[in-house]
Amino acid sequence: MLKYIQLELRRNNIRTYIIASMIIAIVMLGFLYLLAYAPKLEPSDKDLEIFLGYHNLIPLFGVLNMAAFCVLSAVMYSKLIVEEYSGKRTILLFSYPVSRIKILFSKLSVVGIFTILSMSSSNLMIYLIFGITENFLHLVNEAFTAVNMLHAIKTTLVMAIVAASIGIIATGIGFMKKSIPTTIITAVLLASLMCNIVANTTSSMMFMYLFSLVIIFIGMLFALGLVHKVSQMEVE
Amino acid sequence: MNNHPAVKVENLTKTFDGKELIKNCNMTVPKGTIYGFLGVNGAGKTTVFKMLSGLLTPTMGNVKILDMDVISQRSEVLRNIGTIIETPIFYEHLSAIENLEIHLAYMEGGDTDIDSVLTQVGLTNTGKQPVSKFSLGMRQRLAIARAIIHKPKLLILDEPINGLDPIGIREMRELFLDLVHTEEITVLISGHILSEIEHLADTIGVIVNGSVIQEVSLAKVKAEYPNGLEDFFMEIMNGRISDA
Repeated sequence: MLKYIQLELRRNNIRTYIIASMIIAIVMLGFLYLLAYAPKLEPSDKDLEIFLGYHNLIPLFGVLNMAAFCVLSAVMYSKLIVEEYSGKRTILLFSYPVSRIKILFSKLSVVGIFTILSMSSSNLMIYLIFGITENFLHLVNEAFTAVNMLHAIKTTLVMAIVAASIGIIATGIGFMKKSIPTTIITAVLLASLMCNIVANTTSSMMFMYLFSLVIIFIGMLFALGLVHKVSQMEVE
Repeated sequence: MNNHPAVKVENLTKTFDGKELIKNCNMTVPKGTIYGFLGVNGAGKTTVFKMLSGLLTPTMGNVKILDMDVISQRSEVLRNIGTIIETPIFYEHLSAIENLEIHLAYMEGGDTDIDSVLTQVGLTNTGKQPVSKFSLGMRQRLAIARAIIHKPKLLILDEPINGLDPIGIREMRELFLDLVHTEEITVLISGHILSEIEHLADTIGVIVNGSVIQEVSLAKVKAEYPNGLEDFFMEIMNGRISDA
């Protein structure tokens, strides 16, 4: 299995995605400062209070970041799965004496692991940089403590898995039409849905965990659906 | 050499949306020979080749490759065949050597001298150039290299000489003949250039509307049609030779 994952990495240009995730990280760092600064723009505006304090800021930022990485993962899935299993490319893929399911799983794991790793590591960097500058910038009305950091890490991990799962769901839907645009648009729609849910439930982490679990479960169902489709596939 | 055929197709039928593309097709390719597979466009050549290489599942019938069932022993069959079906697909951003390395890794081909195979197909000094920069002829040569590099026992080649210049065609012809004579490979080849098949094949199979209606040795065709394969082919197409 590891061998096929390595081969996936070799024949797909993974560097493009590493650069893309670095760019996302930089943009997201900018966003974090913006979100943190938002309540100070107009202190009288009640709507901006949703950004007040780390207990709001962290989940909001987490889900926004999730949306960005979710689209990245959808793009990767499109390239590695939707495109490779459509048209004549399938002939090449299916002429290897390796079980079709193994190849599909190695593709799913490449994108899944990449999404989770790149999102967690870039988030860790973002929070570290933000935490350090907060010592003298004081954008947020409270100190950035170890408790906040732990909250941030937990949120990031959950969101990273959610991003990978939404990617799989989008792929499953895009795969029906063998269409890359469908995959990416589905990912964007699902991610914005998730954004809304989290934005309205920052008061309780329970909701976020619950919705994430549901999404991860649906993601697994779609992965199984993909396995079924690929193993039955005919190359016309 | 035993007398089990390399390819044995029995009562093969394939339907798409209720239409029978291949019906009751029977075919026998003897080991260690070159089998020329002829038919007009749309007769079902590629569909048969796809079923032989496990890309399509037969609706009915049996396909045995090297005495193995294509469906139940798919991996074993794929490891022992080399194919070119439709326009070959490569990893465009990688070089010829990298493409072959990846292919060998999937095929578990072990240590194979990639350079010598590239020389065999006349594709030397392409270096780090990505395949996307290759000409049609170079791509075809690379496809042939990929089909033979893991030392298959059977080659299934769907119009392999498309896009090659006359020199390339002759080189590939010599390569195929050499593989059959020295490595005892069996070659199943389709194509539109009848004179080319005439130079190569030991046996001719003609497919019309989804079934092979003639399977004769080339020697016999030559005896009956001194003007060559074309006359024989035209006779069949005009319906003067009915089902064998």
